[in-house]
Amino acid sequence: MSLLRHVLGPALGLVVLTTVLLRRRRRRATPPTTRREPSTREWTRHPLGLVAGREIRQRLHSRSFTISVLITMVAVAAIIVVPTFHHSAPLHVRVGVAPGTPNSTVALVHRDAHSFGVEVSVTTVSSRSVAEAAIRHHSLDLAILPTSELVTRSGLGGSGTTGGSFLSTLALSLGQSSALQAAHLSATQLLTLQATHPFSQISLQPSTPRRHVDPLVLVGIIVMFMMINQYAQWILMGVMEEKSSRVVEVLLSGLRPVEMIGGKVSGIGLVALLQSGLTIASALIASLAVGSPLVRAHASWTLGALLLWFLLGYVFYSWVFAAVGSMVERIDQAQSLVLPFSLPLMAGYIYSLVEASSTTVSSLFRLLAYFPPTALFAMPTLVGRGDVGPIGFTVAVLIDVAATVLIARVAAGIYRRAILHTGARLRWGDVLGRRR
Amino acid sequence: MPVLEISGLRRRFGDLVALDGLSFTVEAGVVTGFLGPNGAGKTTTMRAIFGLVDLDGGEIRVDGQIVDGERRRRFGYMPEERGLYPTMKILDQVEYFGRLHGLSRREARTKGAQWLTRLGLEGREDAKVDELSHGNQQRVQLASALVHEPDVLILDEPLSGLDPTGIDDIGAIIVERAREGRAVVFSSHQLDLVENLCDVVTIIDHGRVVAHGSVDELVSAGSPRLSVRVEGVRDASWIESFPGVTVSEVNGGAVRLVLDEGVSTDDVLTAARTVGRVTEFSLHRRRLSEVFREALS
Repeated sequence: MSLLRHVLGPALGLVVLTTVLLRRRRRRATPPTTRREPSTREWTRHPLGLVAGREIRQRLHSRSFTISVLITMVAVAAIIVVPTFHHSAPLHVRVGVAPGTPNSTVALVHRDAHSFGVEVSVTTVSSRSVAEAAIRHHSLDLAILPTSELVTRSGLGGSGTTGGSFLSTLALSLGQSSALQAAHLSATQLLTLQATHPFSQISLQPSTPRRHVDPLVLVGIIVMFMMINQYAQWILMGVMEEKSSRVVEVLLSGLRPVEMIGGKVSGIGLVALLQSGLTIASALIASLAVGSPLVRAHASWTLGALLLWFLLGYVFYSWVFAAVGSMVERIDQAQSLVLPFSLPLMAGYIYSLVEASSTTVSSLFRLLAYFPPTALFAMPTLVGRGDVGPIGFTVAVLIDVAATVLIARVAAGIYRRAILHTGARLRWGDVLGRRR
Repeated sequence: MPVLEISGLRRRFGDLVALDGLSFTVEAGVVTGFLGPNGAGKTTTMRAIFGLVDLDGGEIRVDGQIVDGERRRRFGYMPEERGLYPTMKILDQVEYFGRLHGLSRREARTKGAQWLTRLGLEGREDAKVDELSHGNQQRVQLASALVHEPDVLILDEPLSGLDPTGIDDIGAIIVERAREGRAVVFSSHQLDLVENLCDVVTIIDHGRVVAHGSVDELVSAGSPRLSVRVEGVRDASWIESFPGVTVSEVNGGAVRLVLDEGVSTDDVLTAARTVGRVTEFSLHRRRLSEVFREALS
């Protein structure tokens, strides 16, 4: 239900809004008798579909795409699987005790081991020298001697480790037990003392609970950043290649600029969806295989939100990068022009990673979740922290869609004016004002 | 009936007037040469036909209807600056352009293969564009413009950079397309070729039409040319001061003269005989290059 409410609702709204905007635009621009909407069967013959098809074929046939998909899938699977190695092999400690050691001592060893998640096996060793020899030859990890000494090779990993903490606690427990026995208490008194429970702590002014982002969102944001950068670069390079090879003049003799860019954005977008699908599949398979806590019961909502914002962010930045690509013929020219648009992308990404691990999110960050250039990272972060409701989420989606429509119109205008220009590099002032 | 009507096109780029009320018509079934010096407005006009340049004024009609995106899909275009995807296979490329102009995948592939064969690229369908010579790339460009059998064919310098065989092949296709009832416009600076291939010529300068008509009309109009060759004489000094005669060209000992009205050819022959034995003395029509120069002067 949450998936339906949070993701499909805004997605449906997005589709309806886009359809209404496109129809209004088409009604204004074209006499009703000369153009009609292509049916689904005609879609592959529609110019936009043809441009998209060429982009898809070109990308799917490229070796760089295959390598990039494989690297992303392996990296995501590794992020999920590697941390579980730590959990899958609990510490096992072989403990040697002197003959005649009381059962209560062995029970204490088991109790403290259990509290640290440590497995223990207890054996009897005949003497101190035998115990020390066994420890040196790695057949024993810990010896409890009748002389109130605990012997290990190097402290079971030292302070700060699970083994070290277990050893310290066990030493304290055994010391306390020994002291209690020396006090000659009755069995009932001894049991009462051993069953000690700490007092409950009650704060009259409770502190704000620490909220951390869902690790799935963290992984998703990192993957989104990599993929949006990659696909926006594809758009930029594709437009630039068509300009520098002059093929665009032939293409535009039969296509409208908006069909040209729209086809490119759609085609590369479908490739991006394919890669996202494969990445998600890889994450799910890896999670199921190792029983990772990364994909929990509510993961469908988080995944849906990530996917939606990935698409929104991709479309937004694609139009921007297409406009930049139409103004340049070489990559070195593109780098300086594209910088002002890469900065919010980078800033939104880094700020989201920082805020994801902080106790509370700042007001500025909440604001950036409604600012289209940074919302693609900020809003999923809020979703992952549980810091945004369905209304806020939907408002951010609607703002982003409206901004994307506006950016697309401006970008198509820049493309029209700039794409056939050759010679000296264009500046923003040239393309925002002048005609073709 | 005129197919393509270009009426009163106007366009300024800053202080530069690129098109200054340019008007002419292109009829179906004839090859129209579109000539002019560099910067005259030829490429701007061709781009305007395809909606690639915004106009300050004027309109372009085809079969009486304002040209829009749908009608442009029935046009074929070969721009001055050749444009193909460098790493795409040539048949895939021609098929793609065919499909963009409304052909089905099968039609586009079949016709694309036919055109590549016709243009001498049979067996190279899977080659990439950047593996081809300049001339062969030009052939692929032409195949891309022709694959959808356009009603209007606009070719900007289609013959530049081609060897004589290439010129013959592409020239024959241009004429054939026109004879099939299509409107064909092409620009070129190779005026002898234009004279051979074109039925009609439009010459523009500074964005205006300065001469328009059939090649026959244009070359027949104006003063006749007299070609005179005198044995042992390599220059035209013997006739330069003759009243009413202008030297048009001296080429390998043959002097080409323009005679004003009233000048007698007998008087010129007499003057020639005074410097040596006359081995050639003949009247000619104007060449297109002479029409061009006179139109621009």
